[in-house]
Order: sequence, then structure tokens, then C-alpha cells
Amino acid sequence: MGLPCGLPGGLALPLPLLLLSLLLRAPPASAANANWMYLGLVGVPPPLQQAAPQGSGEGEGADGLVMEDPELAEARAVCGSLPGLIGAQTNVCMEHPSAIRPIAEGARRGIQECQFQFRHERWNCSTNEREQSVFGYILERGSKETAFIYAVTSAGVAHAITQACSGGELTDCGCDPGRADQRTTPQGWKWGGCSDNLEYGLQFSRKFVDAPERGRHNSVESKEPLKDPKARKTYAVRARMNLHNNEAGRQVVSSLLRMHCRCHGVSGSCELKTCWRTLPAFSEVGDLLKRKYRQAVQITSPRGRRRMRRKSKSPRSGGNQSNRGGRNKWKRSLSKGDLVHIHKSPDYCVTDPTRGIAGTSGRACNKTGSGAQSCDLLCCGRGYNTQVVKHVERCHCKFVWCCYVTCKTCETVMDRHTCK
Amino acid sequence: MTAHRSTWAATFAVMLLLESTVANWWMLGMHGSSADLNPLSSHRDNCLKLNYLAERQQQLCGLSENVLTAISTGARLSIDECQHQFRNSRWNCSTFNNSGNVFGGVLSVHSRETAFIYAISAAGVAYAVTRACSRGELNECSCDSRVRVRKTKKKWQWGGCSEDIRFGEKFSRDFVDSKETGDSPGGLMNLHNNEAGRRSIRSRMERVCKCHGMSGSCSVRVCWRKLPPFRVLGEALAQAYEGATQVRLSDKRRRHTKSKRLRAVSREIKPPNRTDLVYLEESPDYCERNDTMGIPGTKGRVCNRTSPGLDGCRLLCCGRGHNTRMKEVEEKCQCKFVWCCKVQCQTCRVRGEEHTCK
Repeated sequence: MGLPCGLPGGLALPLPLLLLSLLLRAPPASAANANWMYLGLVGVPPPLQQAAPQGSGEGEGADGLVMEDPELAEARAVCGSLPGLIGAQTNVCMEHPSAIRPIAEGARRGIQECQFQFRHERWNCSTNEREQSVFGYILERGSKETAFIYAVTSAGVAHAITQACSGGELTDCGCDPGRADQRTTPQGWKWGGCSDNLEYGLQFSRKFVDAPERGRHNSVESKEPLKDPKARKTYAVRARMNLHNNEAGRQVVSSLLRMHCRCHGVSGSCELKTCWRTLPAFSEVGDLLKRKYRQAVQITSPRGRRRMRRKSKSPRSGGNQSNRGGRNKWKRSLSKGDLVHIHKSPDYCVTDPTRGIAGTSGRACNKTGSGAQSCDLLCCGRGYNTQVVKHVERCHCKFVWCCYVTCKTCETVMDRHTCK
Repeated sequence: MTAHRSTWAATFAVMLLLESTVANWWMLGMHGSSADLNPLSSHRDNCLKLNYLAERQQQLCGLSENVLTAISTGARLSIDECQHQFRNSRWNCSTFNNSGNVFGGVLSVHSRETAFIYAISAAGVAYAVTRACSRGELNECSCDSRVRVRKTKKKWQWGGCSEDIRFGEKFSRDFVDSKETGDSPGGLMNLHNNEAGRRSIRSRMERVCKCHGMSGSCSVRVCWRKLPPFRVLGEALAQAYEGATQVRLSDKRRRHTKSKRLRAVSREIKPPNRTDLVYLEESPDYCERNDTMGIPGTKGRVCNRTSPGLDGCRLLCCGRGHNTRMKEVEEKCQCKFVWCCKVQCQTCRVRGEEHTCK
């Protein structure tokens, strides 16, 4: 099932788009490439001034459909000021202006989840609000971390768009129509309620998130002419890696799709049972992706072949080295849900601005314990400083008749450890 | 090989010139250090022969026959423990047999590593002497009788032989600290760390109890204080090493007294107390071989490919990468119990990967 398009916006695109793409290319590309994920950091900026914006662009559903011009103007107003998008992505925005908020929300969700999942590790998914590339030079390297970022943001968009569909925020989609017919299944229940239309979300994510990579993939010369065949090859391999990880992120969302059922009938007798599909909480997606991150596969793309291959013949890192299980594992081909990477990760210990590494100096760590957050691992052997921190809290609160609460202020003194 | 050796000898000669106040008593912990002592001559004479001891140290050594053994044990304990605690680090507490200064040029920097060496060796002497006391090997001390006077709350009483850590500490202070003076920042730092090492024992003394009475009815319960395993102290000091505080000499003069003190370099950092380790200078880079410093570097060290920690190839090899080779290890396997009473095993050859730093 494709995207329901054919909205009037599609007809009059070329001219404004040309303008737009010029406009968007204009801002000086910061050190690293600008990125649509920037929307997740700054949100959708208010529409440009010329159009009279109605709320957040949700209201243009029924009444805006007839009048072509105002809608186009509004779409242009919304999509014109977006940072970090490439032409194809602006196209998508012009077609579905109301989807841009869910997209930004998806990116935000992805970045937030990334920061949550990596909060204790040496690389903590730190972002830079001043840079349109969001993650700086980290994304330039095809490491495991980059793989995670691509997967989680792509999943975030699919997730957020699907939710927006079910919530009625988008005009082009609603609940899953395939699950809405009232027929009874052989198991004796009916599809009912609002099943989340994940298929739409996935397609949308494919269309929007994959756009930059498809651009890289097909027309390398569009951006800057890469004469050197070697450079062109690495470029293509990198695009393939990103596409794979984007898809892996979406795959994780769909693998976690749940079914919810409800009983109806006299005192819950379950004479009638209706079921619908719901999205997983995004934290579940993050958890699963983190697991996949730990088992990410390093790949190469042999000359002249389109398919990617595992690079090492050794079993997955940390895996059991028993002869029986190991051999099969080596030969197992890449599955769609695996995260893949080209480069090895740096150690992320020492600050290195040229590679976008913040380093672990100054990070709070755990004096005892052996996890990733322990000073031992986080500080990379540099040791830690101890500070005495005063916590002022309200405590021993009592209710006094009538009607107020008196509290005391308590000071607790704690040691805070930060890496040297 | 000889040329190699001579360069090392030259470097150490340089180092000895640079570091005239090196606490050479650590030599006692090296294997074969007391081989040239004559077992027939008196212990006093033997102690005088050890020219790497300071005068006060020679006096203490000559106190009685077993003092020298106890100190040697202490030095050995601390060197072993240091090497155990740092087995995974870039600096692996390597020692040099042919140098008067056991740990090489690492000590010429007042770094965290130096702080650890001083602390663990002061603790080692206190520990070994205390142990020797309770075994009755030294004339000057025995079990701790002061503990017995203490009141106990519950149904047990002090008894047995409580190990006298106070004596051990005192001896260690007398012996180890005799080389240091509080004039220089380095001396102050060493004194502080010596004391921190000794204090690490006191708070970790264990209480061991035994039941007495008819068929173990525990009608009488007797308890005594015992030294913890030395590994516990090593771990505690390694933890202190991780959290060591960088200090500098404070400029403040306090009410006419000219006492020099060490203070944390920044006000935000918690001031070090007596159990914390302190250091003055940042550690050198232990990655590359440095002959003048006596740092062997991490080239050729065995590393763990999958570990994210310090022993992992990535950190240990300092980004130089690693070599992998297959290595055959002989292991005992397919062990069977044979009546009665033997265990018969076969030796299997297991192939495993070994990674070494480039």
C-alpha cells in the first residue's frame, strides 16, 4: 500500500520548490552536514509571516481542501523555514504539511530515547543545539553509534506519524482501514476500535527519512561531483548502511506491535470480543534497539556486489566461542533487523572536537559498582574528583489545622564524583 | 642483549642521580635481595650491610633477628599487591631487579601512581610487622592487650590474640617515614600517602569469634581482632587511587607557625582527609616506551578484545591496534574420579586467541 497522494499540493510544486531548495541550501553548511533530525532539537519553527497561520496547521482539514491557494501558501509557510531538510524531504513536507510536527516529534523522541539509553556510557548521545548536524562529526563516521542514531530516529518518525494518524492529527490517514471491517475472525473475535496504522507510518518514514540516502545512492553527483571511484564507493556503502539501519529501526517498531482485546457483554461475559493493534511504548523500541546495538554487525560491501557482507568471520563479539554454535553464526546472513556499521567506534574517552567526541571528563560517575557508569569504566583510568554537594530539601512536612503545611528545610551533604 | 642491558643500566644511573632520596628499602621486597647476607653473622651486622637503608632504618632492622624478615615480607606483599591491582592498567607496576630504585623512573613524578606505591608499601610494612608480632616472632611486641579491657555489649568477650595494629602502624611510621621530611611538597605528599596507607588497615580490622562450651554450645564466646586479607587493603587503596586528589602547597601562613600544608588544587574539590591519597603532578603517558623514565610502554601487553575497560585492547594499546595469534593452551580435562581416591585427568590442548598490543 502506498501513500495516498494526489492532494492538490502535488500539482503546483516545481516553482516554489525551486525557490525553497535554493533557500535551504543557502545557510552556510556548518562543519558537518545538516540533518533533518535538527527538527527534533528545535521543533518546528512558526510558519513564515505571509500566511495567516491557523493554529498549528491541524485545522486546514475540511475547509482548506477546496481552496487551493491558501493551503499551498500555508504549506510553503510551514515548510519554507525548516532547517536541515533536503529537497526531497521538503517535497514530502509540501505534500503533507501537517505531518511535519509529528516528524519533529519523532526526531525528538528518537534523540531523547538515544540519550536515555546511553546515559551511562562513554558516548552519551550528546547533541549540539547550535549545529544543524545535531550530532556533529559523530555521524560522519559509520560506527555502531551512528547506526543506532539512524535506527532510533527512523523508528521515532514511524512511531510518531502512526500515533498522529490514530489521533486524527493528519488528514491523509486514520486508523488502520484493513482492520476495521466488522467481520468475525475464525478465532471468534472482531477487529474493532482503532488499530494503529503502522503501515502508513512506516511508509511515511521510508519516504521522508530515507530520502537523503536515496539521493546519495542514486545520484551521487547531484551534491558534489565525486570523481574518485573510491570515494564514490565509500559514499555508496555508507548510504546502504544508513538505509539498512533506518529499515532496522522501523522493523523493530513493527515487531513490537501488540494486540489489545476487550470483552463485551453482560458483566464481562465476553460474548463479543473486539481487538485492535497498538503501538509499543517508544521506550520498548529503545530497549530493543539498544540490544541490537550491542550485537551490531560490521559489514563490508565487496566490489561489484550490491549486497553487504559481514566483515569479520569471528562470532559476534562476546559470544560463546563453542565450535558448534559459532560456525553457523558466522555464516548466518544479515537479517533485516540487525544494525550494521562500517567503522569501528572510537573509545570516546578523550575530548576530540575534530571528530565530534565530547570525552568523559567532567561526567558524573559511580564510585562503587561495575556497570558502565562506574568511575572505573567511565573515566577511562584517569580517576575522578570528589566534590561535596549540598542538597537543600523541604522535609518533615506537617499539616497544620487549617489549612497549611509547614516544612523544615533539610540539608543533606553528598559526595559527587566526576571524571578527571 | 648486552647493549640493551647497558642502556638500561645507564638510565638507572641517571635516575639514581636525579632521585637521591629514593626510598630504597623496597629492595628488600625483591627476590634475592638478601642472598648476599651471611647467615652466620649477627643480624645487626647484616642490617649494616644493607647500604640502601637509611640510618634509622638500619637501627630498626637491627632491633631483633626477625625484623628484617618482617620488613622484607611487607615489601614483597606490597609489590605483589601493586602488580595485582594494576595488572590491567597501562602502567602495570613493573619492577626492575637491577635498579636500586625498585619501580624505576615512575617515582620521579609525583603522580597518582607514586602515591599508590607509597601508600601500599607503608601499609605492607605495618601489616607484616603486626602479623609477626602476633606470631611471636618479634621481641618488641605481642598481641594487643588493650583490646581486652574494652567492654563488650553482647554475650561475648575479648580473648585470644588480637593483632596489634597500633604497634605495626607505629613501626611503619618510624621505619618508612624516616626517609621523608616535611620540607618539600614531595616529602609532604609521601608522608600523607604513607599515613593513608597505614590508616587503610585500622578501619578494616576484622573480628573473629569462636564458640566454647559443651559440644559447641557456645556458652562462652571469645572474640579477637584480626588483620584483613591484604587483598582487601589493596582494593581499598586502588579505589583511593582512582579518587586521589590533586594538591598543591598552600601559601597561607597560619598564625606565626610556618607549617606547610597541602591543599586541593581547586576549591570545588573536596579537601582530602587522612585516608585519601594525594598527588602533585599529572601522570605521564604510560603508552609509549620511555627509557629515561623507565616506562616499558604497553607494546606487547596481552589485552582483552571485548572488554570496554582498561584491560581492553582499545584502551590498553592506546589506539595502536593489536595483533592476534592463535595460542594453544594445555588444560586438564575429562577428569574422572577413580575409586579410591584419585582423580584422573587427561590433558587437552585448547586453541584460543591471544591479543597483544602493537
